[in-house]
Amino acid sequence: MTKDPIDLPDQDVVDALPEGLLRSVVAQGAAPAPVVDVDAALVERVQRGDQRAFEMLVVKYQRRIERLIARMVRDVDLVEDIAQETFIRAYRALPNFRGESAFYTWLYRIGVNTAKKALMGLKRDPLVTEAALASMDEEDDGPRVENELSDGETPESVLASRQIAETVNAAIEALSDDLRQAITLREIEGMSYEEIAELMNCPIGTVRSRIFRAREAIASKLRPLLDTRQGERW
Amino acid sequence: MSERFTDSQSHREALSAMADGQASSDDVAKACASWREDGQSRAAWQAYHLIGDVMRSEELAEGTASADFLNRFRDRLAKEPVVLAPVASQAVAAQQLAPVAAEVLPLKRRSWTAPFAVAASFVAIVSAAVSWQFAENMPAGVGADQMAQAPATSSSRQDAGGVDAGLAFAATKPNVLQGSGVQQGTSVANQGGSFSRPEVAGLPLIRDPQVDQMLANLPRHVTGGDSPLASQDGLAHAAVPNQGK
Repeated sequence: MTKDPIDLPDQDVVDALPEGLLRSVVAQGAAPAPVVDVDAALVERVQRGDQRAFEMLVVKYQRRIERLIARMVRDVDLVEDIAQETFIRAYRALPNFRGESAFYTWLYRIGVNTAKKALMGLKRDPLVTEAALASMDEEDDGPRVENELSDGETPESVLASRQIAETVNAAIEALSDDLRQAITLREIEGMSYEEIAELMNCPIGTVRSRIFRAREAIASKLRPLLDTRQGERW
Repeated sequence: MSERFTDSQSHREALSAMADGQASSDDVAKACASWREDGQSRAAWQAYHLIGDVMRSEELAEGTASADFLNRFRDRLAKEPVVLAPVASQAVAAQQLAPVAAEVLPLKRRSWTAPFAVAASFVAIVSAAVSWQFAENMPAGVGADQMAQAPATSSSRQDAGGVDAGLAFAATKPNVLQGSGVQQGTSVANQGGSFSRPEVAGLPLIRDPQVDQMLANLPRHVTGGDSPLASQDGLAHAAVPNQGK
Protein backbone atom coordinates (compact mmCIF):
# COMPACT_ATOMS: atom_id res chain seq x y z
CA MET A 1 0.00 0.00 0.00
CA THR A 2 1.42 3.38 -0.91
CA LYS A 3 0.80 6.54 1.05
CA ASP A 4 -0.45 9.72 -0.50
CA PRO A 5 2.42 12.12 -1.16
CA ILE A 6 2.56 15.15 1.08
CA ASP A 7 1.50 18.33 -0.66
CA LEU A 8 4.33 20.78 -0.16
CA PRO A 9 3.69 24.47 -0.91
CA ASP A 10 5.52 26.06 -3.80
CA GLN A 11 8.66 27.99 -2.88
CA ASP A 12 7.19 31.29 -4.03
CA VAL A 13 4.28 30.74 -1.65
CA VAL A 14 6.73 30.13 1.17
CA ASP A 15 8.73 33.23 0.23
CA ALA A 16 5.59 35.31 0.37
CA LEU A 17 4.86 34.32 3.94
CA PRO A 18 5.73 36.90 6.63
CA GLU A 19 8.98 36.16 8.40
CA GLY A 20 7.30 36.19 11.76
CA LEU A 21 4.79 33.57 10.67
CA LEU A 22 7.50 31.33 9.32
CA ARG A 23 9.49 31.64 12.53
CA SER A 24 6.45 30.89 14.64
CA VAL A 25 5.63 27.83 12.51
CA VAL A 26 9.16 26.54 12.89
CA ALA A 27 9.15 27.36 16.59
CA GLN A 28 5.85 25.55 17.10
CA GLY A 29 7.12 22.51 15.27
CA ALA A 30 9.95 22.03 17.77
CA ALA A 31 9.23 20.95 21.32
CA PRO A 32 9.51 24.10 23.42
CA ALA A 33 11.94 24.07 26.34
CA PRO A 34 10.21 24.48 29.70
CA VAL A 35 9.96 28.08 30.82
CA VAL A 36 11.55 28.90 34.17
CA ASP A 37 11.15 31.71 36.68
CA VAL A 38 14.02 33.85 35.44
CA ASP A 39 14.71 35.61 38.73
CA ALA A 40 14.68 32.30 40.57
CA ALA A 41 17.01 30.78 37.96
CA LEU A 42 19.42 33.69 38.26
CA VAL A 43 19.31 33.53 42.06
CA GLU A 44 20.04 29.82 41.94
CA ARG A 45 23.06 30.48 39.75
CA VAL A 46 24.31 33.11 42.17
CA GLN A 47 23.88 30.64 45.03
CA ARG A 48 26.14 28.30 43.09
CA GLY A 49 28.82 30.94 42.79
CA ASP A 50 27.98 32.73 39.52
CA GLN A 51 28.39 36.45 40.18
CA ARG A 52 27.48 37.29 36.57
CA ALA A 53 23.91 36.22 37.30
CA PHE A 54 23.79 38.69 40.17
CA GLU A 55 25.01 41.48 37.91
CA MET A 56 22.08 40.77 35.59
CA LEU A 57 19.72 41.17 38.55
CA VAL A 58 21.44 44.41 39.54
CA VAL A 59 20.94 45.92 36.09
CA LYS A 60 17.33 44.74 36.07
CA TYR A 61 16.35 46.26 39.42
CA GLN A 62 18.74 49.19 39.78
CA ARG A 63 16.25 51.90 38.76
CA ARG A 64 13.43 50.58 40.92
CA ILE A 65 15.64 50.35 43.98
CA GLU A 66 17.00 53.85 43.39
CA ARG A 67 13.48 55.22 43.04
CA LEU A 68 12.50 53.51 46.29
CA ILE A 69 15.45 55.01 48.12
CA ALA A 70 14.99 58.44 46.50
CA ARG A 71 11.58 58.65 48.14
CA MET A 72 13.27 58.35 51.53
CA VAL A 73 16.49 60.20 50.89
CA ARG A 74 16.90 63.57 49.29
CA ASP A 75 20.62 63.50 48.54
CA VAL A 76 21.10 62.07 45.04
CA ASP A 77 24.66 60.90 45.71
CA LEU A 78 23.50 59.17 48.84
CA VAL A 79 20.76 57.42 46.85
CA GLU A 80 23.31 55.64 44.70
CA ASP A 81 25.49 54.74 47.68
CA ILE A 82 22.53 53.26 49.52
CA ALA A 83 21.42 51.42 46.39
CA GLN A 84 24.89 49.93 46.02
CA GLU A 85 24.85 48.94 49.68
CA THR A 86 21.42 47.38 49.20
CA PHE A 87 22.66 45.09 46.44
CA ILE A 88 25.78 44.17 48.40
CA ARG A 89 23.66 43.25 51.44
CA ALA A 90 21.36 41.22 49.21
CA TYR A 91 24.34 39.39 47.72
CA ARG A 92 25.67 38.52 51.18
CA ALA A 93 22.25 37.33 52.33
CA LEU A 94 21.52 35.22 49.25
CA PRO A 95 22.60 31.90 50.83
CA ASN A 96 19.70 32.40 53.24
CA PHE A 97 17.18 33.26 50.53
CA ARG A 98 14.78 30.31 50.25
CA GLY A 99 12.53 31.68 47.49
CA GLU A 100 9.50 31.88 49.78
CA SER A 101 8.86 35.35 48.38
CA ALA A 102 9.68 36.87 45.04
CA PHE A 103 13.25 38.05 44.74
CA TYR A 104 12.23 41.69 44.20
CA THR A 105 9.97 41.65 47.26
CA TRP A 106 12.90 40.44 49.30
CA LEU A 107 15.23 42.99 47.70
CA TYR A 108 12.71 45.76 48.35
CA ARG A 109 12.75 45.05 52.09
CA ILE A 110 16.53 45.11 52.12
CA GLY A 111 16.43 48.47 50.33
CA VAL A 112 14.06 49.97 52.89
CA ASN A 113 16.10 48.68 55.81
CA THR A 114 19.37 49.84 54.31
CA ALA A 115 18.00 53.33 53.70
CA LYS A 116 16.59 53.57 57.22
CA LYS A 117 19.86 52.42 58.70
CA ALA A 118 21.81 54.93 56.62
CA LEU A 119 19.52 57.73 57.70
CA MET A 120 19.78 56.72 61.34
CA GLY A 121 23.53 56.86 60.97
CA LEU A 122 23.21 60.37 59.62
CA LYS A 123 20.54 61.18 62.21
CA ARG A 124 18.11 62.24 59.52
CA ASP A 125 14.43 61.47 59.32
CA PRO A 126 13.28 59.78 56.14
CA LEU A 127 11.21 61.92 53.83
CA VAL A 128 8.46 59.35 53.63
CA THR A 129 7.27 56.79 56.16
CA GLU A 130 7.43 53.13 55.32
CA ALA A 131 3.66 52.76 55.27
CA ALA A 132 3.39 55.58 52.78
CA LEU A 133 6.11 53.94 50.72
CA ALA A 134 4.17 50.71 50.51
CA SER A 135 1.04 52.43 49.28
CA MET A 136 2.67 54.73 46.77
CA ASP A 137 4.91 52.10 45.30
CA GLU A 138 1.87 50.51 43.72
CA GLU A 139 1.15 53.70 41.85
CA ASP A 140 3.03 54.89 38.83
CA ASP A 141 3.75 58.36 40.19
CA GLY A 142 5.54 59.13 43.41
CA PRO A 143 5.26 62.09 45.74
CA ARG A 144 7.86 64.13 43.90
CA VAL A 145 6.98 67.76 43.55
CA GLU A 146 7.23 69.04 40.02
CA ASN A 147 10.17 71.32 39.23
CA GLU A 148 11.82 70.67 42.56
CA LEU A 149 15.36 69.35 42.46
CA SER A 150 16.77 66.94 44.99
CA ASP A 151 20.14 67.62 46.59
CA GLY A 152 22.83 66.87 44.00
CA GLU A 153 20.41 66.76 41.12
CA THR A 154 21.31 69.08 38.26
CA PRO A 155 19.08 70.60 35.60
CA GLU A 156 21.07 68.62 33.06
CA SER A 157 20.31 65.31 34.74
CA VAL A 158 16.63 66.21 34.98
CA LEU A 159 16.62 67.16 31.30
CA ALA A 160 18.36 63.93 30.36
CA SER A 161 15.74 61.91 32.22
CA ARG A 162 12.90 63.76 30.56
CA GLN A 163 14.50 63.24 27.15
CA ILE A 164 14.66 59.52 27.77
CA ALA A 165 10.99 59.41 28.73
CA GLU A 166 9.97 61.51 25.72
CA THR A 167 12.06 59.40 23.35
CA VAL A 168 10.48 56.20 24.60
CA ASN A 169 6.99 57.62 24.21
CA ALA A 170 7.71 58.95 20.72
CA ALA A 171 9.31 55.69 19.62
CA ILE A 172 6.27 53.72 20.79
CA GLU A 173 3.98 56.04 18.85
CA ALA A 174 6.08 55.43 15.74
CA LEU A 175 5.72 51.63 15.95
CA SER A 176 3.34 49.70 13.75
CA ASP A 177 0.03 48.81 15.37
CA ASP A 178 0.98 45.17 15.92
CA LEU A 179 4.29 45.96 17.57
CA ARG A 180 2.84 48.75 19.69
CA GLN A 181 -0.05 46.60 20.84
CA ALA A 182 2.21 43.66 21.68
CA ILE A 183 4.67 45.67 23.77
CA THR A 184 1.92 47.67 25.48
CA LEU A 185 0.02 44.54 26.46
CA ARG A 186 3.24 43.10 27.84
CA GLU A 187 4.73 46.09 29.66
CA ILE A 188 1.64 48.05 30.75
CA GLU A 189 -1.00 45.33 31.11
CA GLY A 190 1.47 42.71 32.32
CA MET A 191 -0.01 40.00 30.14
CA SER A 192 1.81 36.76 29.46
CA TYR A 193 2.83 35.71 25.97
CA GLU A 194 0.00 33.19 25.97
CA GLU A 195 -2.58 35.82 26.87
CA ILE A 196 -1.26 38.24 24.27
CA ALA A 197 -1.28 35.51 21.64
CA GLU A 198 -4.91 34.76 22.39
CA LEU A 199 -5.86 38.43 22.37
CA MET A 200 -4.01 39.19 19.14
CA ASN A 201 -5.00 35.89 17.56
CA CYS A 202 -1.47 34.91 16.64
CA PRO A 203 1.08 32.26 17.68
CA ILE A 204 3.17 32.74 20.79
CA GLY A 205 6.31 32.85 18.65
CA THR A 206 4.86 35.82 16.81
CA VAL A 207 4.22 37.59 20.11
CA ARG A 208 7.81 36.97 21.15
CA SER A 209 9.07 38.29 17.82
CA ARG A 210 6.88 41.40 17.86
CA ILE A 211 7.87 42.38 21.38
CA PHE A 212 11.54 41.89 20.51
CA ARG A 213 11.27 44.01 17.36
CA ALA A 214 9.42 46.72 19.26
CA ARG A 215 12.16 46.85 21.87
CA GLU A 216 14.86 46.93 19.22
CA ALA A 217 13.15 49.83 17.46
CA ILE A 218 12.81 51.82 20.70
CA ALA A 219 16.35 50.94 21.84
CA SER A 220 17.83 52.15 18.58
CA LYS A 221 16.32 55.61 19.24
CA LEU A 222 17.44 55.56 22.86
CA ARG A 223 21.01 54.57 22.06
CA PRO A 224 22.26 58.10 21.24
CA LEU A 225 20.86 59.36 24.53
CA LEU A 226 22.28 56.50 26.56
CA ASP A 227 25.70 56.75 24.92
CA THR A 228 26.02 60.43 25.70
CA ARG A 229 25.14 60.08 29.37
CA GLN A 230 28.25 60.45 31.42
CA GLY A 231 30.22 57.23 31.42
CA GLU A 232 27.53 55.23 29.66
CA ARG A 233 29.84 52.59 28.26
CA TRP A 234 29.16 48.91 28.35
CA MET B 1 30.35 25.11 30.34
CA SER B 2 27.14 26.31 28.61
CA GLU B 3 27.27 27.09 24.96
CA ARG B 4 27.01 30.70 24.03
CA PHE B 5 24.77 32.31 21.46
CA THR B 6 26.54 32.51 18.13
CA ASP B 7 24.04 34.89 16.57
CA SER B 8 23.88 38.32 18.18
CA GLN B 9 20.27 38.89 17.14
CA SER B 10 19.08 35.56 18.44
CA HIS B 11 20.89 36.32 21.68
CA ARG B 12 19.13 39.65 22.03
CA GLU B 13 15.81 38.03 21.24
CA ALA B 14 16.45 35.47 23.95
CA LEU B 15 17.29 38.32 26.35
CA SER B 16 14.05 40.04 25.38
CA ALA B 17 12.14 36.86 26.22
CA MET B 18 14.11 36.54 29.45
CA ALA B 19 13.02 40.04 30.41
CA ASP B 20 9.43 38.76 30.08
CA GLY B 21 10.08 35.61 32.08
CA GLN B 22 9.84 33.51 28.93
CA ALA B 23 13.14 31.70 29.02
CA SER B 24 14.43 28.20 29.58
CA SER B 25 17.18 27.40 32.03
CA ASP B 26 19.47 26.92 29.04
CA ASP B 27 18.75 30.46 27.86
CA VAL B 28 19.60 31.76 31.32
CA ALA B 29 22.83 29.80 31.34
CA LYS B 30 23.83 31.12 27.92
CA ALA B 31 23.03 34.68 28.93
CA CYS B 32 25.24 34.39 32.00
CA ALA B 33 28.02 32.75 30.00
CA SER B 34 28.33 35.70 27.62
CA TRP B 35 27.43 38.46 30.07
CA ARG B 36 30.89 39.87 30.79
CA GLU B 37 32.32 39.45 27.32
CA ASP B 38 29.45 40.86 25.28
CA GLY B 39 28.88 44.59 25.82
CA GLN B 40 26.04 44.66 23.32
CA SER B 41 24.17 42.06 25.33
CA ARG B 42 24.59 44.07 28.52
CA ALA B 43 23.39 47.20 26.73
CA ALA B 44 20.40 45.31 25.34
CA TRP B 45 19.47 43.85 28.76
CA GLN B 46 19.65 47.33 30.27
CA ALA B 47 17.69 48.95 27.43
CA TYR B 48 14.88 46.38 27.50
CA HIS B 49 14.35 46.90 31.21
CA LEU B 50 14.68 50.68 30.91
CA ILE B 51 11.97 50.70 28.22
CA GLY B 52 9.59 48.71 30.36
CA ASP B 53 10.31 50.77 33.47
CA VAL B 54 9.78 54.09 31.66
CA MET B 55 6.58 52.84 30.02
CA ARG B 56 5.22 52.08 33.50
CA SER B 57 6.61 55.18 35.21
CA GLU B 58 8.52 58.08 33.67
CA GLU B 59 10.10 58.63 37.07
CA LEU B 60 12.19 55.54 36.41
CA ALA B 61 14.01 57.38 33.63
CA GLU B 62 15.95 59.12 36.39
CA GLY B 63 18.80 57.65 38.34
CA THR B 64 22.39 56.65 37.84
CA ALA B 65 23.52 55.62 34.40
CA SER B 66 23.41 51.84 34.46
CA ALA B 67 26.91 51.29 33.09
CA ASP B 68 28.38 53.56 35.75
CA PHE B 69 26.35 51.90 38.47
CA LEU B 70 27.36 48.42 37.37
CA ASN B 71 31.06 49.28 37.05
CA ARG B 72 31.15 50.73 40.56
CA PHE B 73 29.17 47.78 41.88
CA ARG B 74 31.60 45.32 40.30
CA ASP B 75 34.45 46.95 42.21
CA ARG B 76 32.60 46.34 45.46
CA LEU B 77 31.49 42.85 44.42
CA ALA B 78 35.07 41.86 43.64
CA LYS B 79 35.96 42.43 47.29
CA GLU B 80 33.18 40.15 48.52
CA PRO B 81 33.71 36.43 49.13
CA VAL B 82 31.81 34.24 46.72
CA VAL B 83 28.58 33.23 48.40
CA LEU B 84 27.33 29.69 48.16
CA ALA B 85 24.09 28.26 49.48
CA PRO B 86 24.52 25.27 51.86
CA VAL B 87 23.01 22.81 49.37
CA ALA B 88 25.32 24.08 46.67
CA SER B 89 28.33 23.87 48.95
CA GLN B 90 27.56 20.25 49.82
CA ALA B 91 27.19 19.44 46.12
CA VAL B 92 30.57 21.02 45.46
CA ALA B 93 32.07 19.06 48.33
CA ALA B 94 30.56 15.86 46.95
CA GLN B 95 32.15 16.56 43.60
CA GLN B 96 35.49 16.88 45.36
CA LEU B 97 35.03 13.51 47.07
CA ALA B 98 33.86 11.72 43.92
CA PRO B 99 37.33 11.32 42.30
CA VAL B 100 38.65 9.75 45.51
CA ALA B 101 35.70 7.37 45.75
CA ALA B 102 36.24 6.31 42.14
CA GLU B 103 39.73 5.02 43.01
CA VAL B 104 38.36 2.60 45.60
CA LEU B 105 37.98 -0.85 44.09
CA PRO B 106 34.42 -2.19 44.37
CA LEU B 107 33.87 -5.29 46.48
CA LYS B 108 33.55 -8.48 44.49
CA ARG B 109 30.01 -9.55 45.15
CA ARG B 110 29.27 -13.17 46.03
CA SER B 111 26.00 -14.74 46.91
CA TRP B 112 26.91 -15.22 50.54
CA THR B 113 27.85 -11.55 51.11
CA ALA B 114 24.18 -10.52 51.20
CA PRO B 115 23.53 -11.28 54.90
CA PHE B 116 26.72 -9.49 55.88
CA ALA B 117 25.78 -6.47 53.82
CA VAL B 118 22.45 -6.34 55.62
CA ALA B 119 24.15 -6.62 59.00
CA ALA B 120 26.68 -3.93 58.13
CA SER B 121 23.89 -1.63 56.99
CA PHE B 122 22.04 -2.24 60.25
CA VAL B 123 25.14 -1.33 62.23
CA ALA B 124 25.64 1.87 60.25
CA ILE B 125 22.02 2.93 60.68
CA VAL B 126 22.00 2.19 64.43
CA SER B 127 25.29 3.98 64.89
CA ALA B 128 24.01 7.08 63.10
CA ALA B 129 20.71 7.07 65.01
CA VAL B 130 22.43 6.69 68.36
CA SER B 131 24.94 9.41 67.51
CA TRP B 132 22.24 11.91 66.59
CA GLN B 133 20.19 11.02 69.66
CA PHE B 134 23.24 11.42 71.88
CA ALA B 135 24.05 14.76 70.29
CA GLU B 136 20.50 16.01 70.86
CA ASN B 137 20.72 15.17 74.55
CA MET B 138 24.02 16.94 75.06
CA PRO B 139 23.74 20.13 77.16
CA ALA B 140 23.94 23.35 75.12
CA GLY B 141 27.15 25.31 75.07
CA VAL B 142 29.46 22.40 75.48
CA GLY B 143 32.40 23.09 73.22
CA ALA B 144 30.56 26.06 71.72
CA ASP B 145 33.79 27.88 71.09
CA GLN B 146 34.59 25.29 68.43
CA MET B 147 31.67 26.46 66.29
CA ALA B 148 32.00 30.09 67.27
CA GLN B 149 35.52 30.15 65.86
CA ALA B 150 34.32 29.08 62.42
CA PRO B 151 33.84 31.99 60.03
CA ALA B 152 30.32 32.62 58.76
CA THR B 153 31.25 32.67 55.12
CA SER B 154 34.07 31.56 53.00
CA SER B 155 36.97 33.94 52.71
CA SER B 156 38.24 32.55 49.42
CA ARG B 157 38.02 34.67 46.32
CA GLN B 158 36.22 33.79 43.16
CA ASP B 159 39.52 33.52 41.30
CA ALA B 160 40.46 30.66 43.55
CA GLY B 161 37.61 28.67 42.06
CA GLY B 162 34.13 27.93 43.26
CA VAL B 163 35.18 24.51 44.49
CA ASP B 164 37.61 25.86 47.08
CA ALA B 165 35.01 28.36 48.19
CA GLY B 166 32.48 25.56 48.47
CA LEU B 167 34.74 23.41 50.63
CA ALA B 168 35.55 26.31 52.94
CA PHE B 169 31.87 27.12 53.25
CA ALA B 170 31.01 23.47 54.01
CA ALA B 171 33.46 23.44 56.90
CA THR B 172 31.86 26.46 58.56
CA LYS B 173 28.69 26.94 60.55
CA PRO B 174 26.00 25.72 58.18
CA ASN B 175 22.56 27.28 57.81
CA VAL B 176 21.03 23.96 56.85
CA LEU B 177 21.40 22.61 60.37
CA GLN B 178 19.67 25.47 62.10
CA GLY B 179 16.46 24.31 63.70
CA SER B 180 17.23 20.66 63.01
CA GLY B 181 17.46 19.85 66.69
CA VAL B 182 21.18 19.21 66.59
CA GLN B 183 23.01 20.96 69.38
CA GLN B 184 25.74 23.00 67.81
CA GLY B 185 28.96 23.32 69.66
CA THR B 186 28.92 19.83 71.15
CA SER B 187 32.29 18.54 72.13
CA VAL B 188 34.25 16.11 70.10
CA ALA B 189 33.86 12.76 71.81
CA ASN B 190 35.16 10.35 69.26
CA GLN B 191 36.52 7.62 71.49
CA GLY B 192 38.58 5.81 68.95
CA GLY B 193 36.02 3.49 67.41
CA SER B 194 36.65 1.50 64.28
CA PHE B 195 34.36 3.70 62.23
CA SER B 196 35.76 6.77 60.56
CA ARG B 197 33.20 9.11 59.07
CA PRO B 198 33.79 12.59 57.69
CA GLU B 199 32.32 15.33 59.78
CA VAL B 200 28.86 16.23 58.64
CA ALA B 201 28.82 19.91 57.75
CA GLY B 202 31.48 20.72 60.35
CA LEU B 203 29.94 18.86 63.29
CA PRO B 204 32.00 16.28 65.21
CA LEU B 205 30.90 12.62 65.45
CA ILE B 206 29.65 11.64 68.89
CA ARG B 207 30.24 7.97 69.75
CA ASP B 208 27.92 6.12 72.12
CA PRO B 209 29.53 3.34 74.19
CA GLN B 210 26.44 1.19 73.52
CA VAL B 211 27.56 0.91 69.90
CA ASP B 212 30.66 -0.98 70.99
CA GLN B 213 28.52 -3.54 72.81
CA MET B 214 26.31 -4.04 69.76
CA LEU B 215 29.34 -4.45 67.56
CA ALA B 216 30.79 -7.01 69.92
CA ASN B 217 27.66 -9.15 69.53
CA LEU B 218 28.02 -9.32 65.75
CA PRO B 219 30.23 -11.87 63.93
CA ARG B 220 33.68 -10.44 63.55
CA HIS B 221 33.90 -10.97 59.84
CA VAL B 222 30.98 -8.54 59.46
CA THR B 223 32.93 -5.84 61.19
CA GLY B 224 36.16 -6.68 59.42
CA GLY B 225 37.92 -9.27 61.53
CA ASP B 226 38.47 -13.04 61.12
CA SER B 227 35.75 -15.31 62.39
CA PRO B 228 35.34 -19.02 62.95
CA LEU B 229 31.74 -18.62 61.71
CA ALA B 230 32.69 -18.36 58.07
CA SER B 231 29.86 -20.49 56.73
CA GLN B 232 26.19 -19.70 56.42
CA ASP B 233 25.42 -22.58 58.76
CA GLY B 234 27.68 -21.04 61.33
CA LEU B 235 25.94 -17.70 60.93
CA ALA B 236 22.54 -19.35 61.34
CA HIS B 237 23.83 -21.13 64.44
CA ALA B 238 25.00 -17.82 65.88
CA ALA B 239 21.67 -16.14 65.10
CA VAL B 240 19.60 -18.83 66.83
CA PRO B 241 21.95 -20.37 69.39
CA ASN B 242 19.21 -22.17 71.32
CA GLN B 243 17.35 -23.67 68.38
CA GLY B 244 16.75 -27.36 69.06
CA LYS B 245 19.77 -27.69 71.28
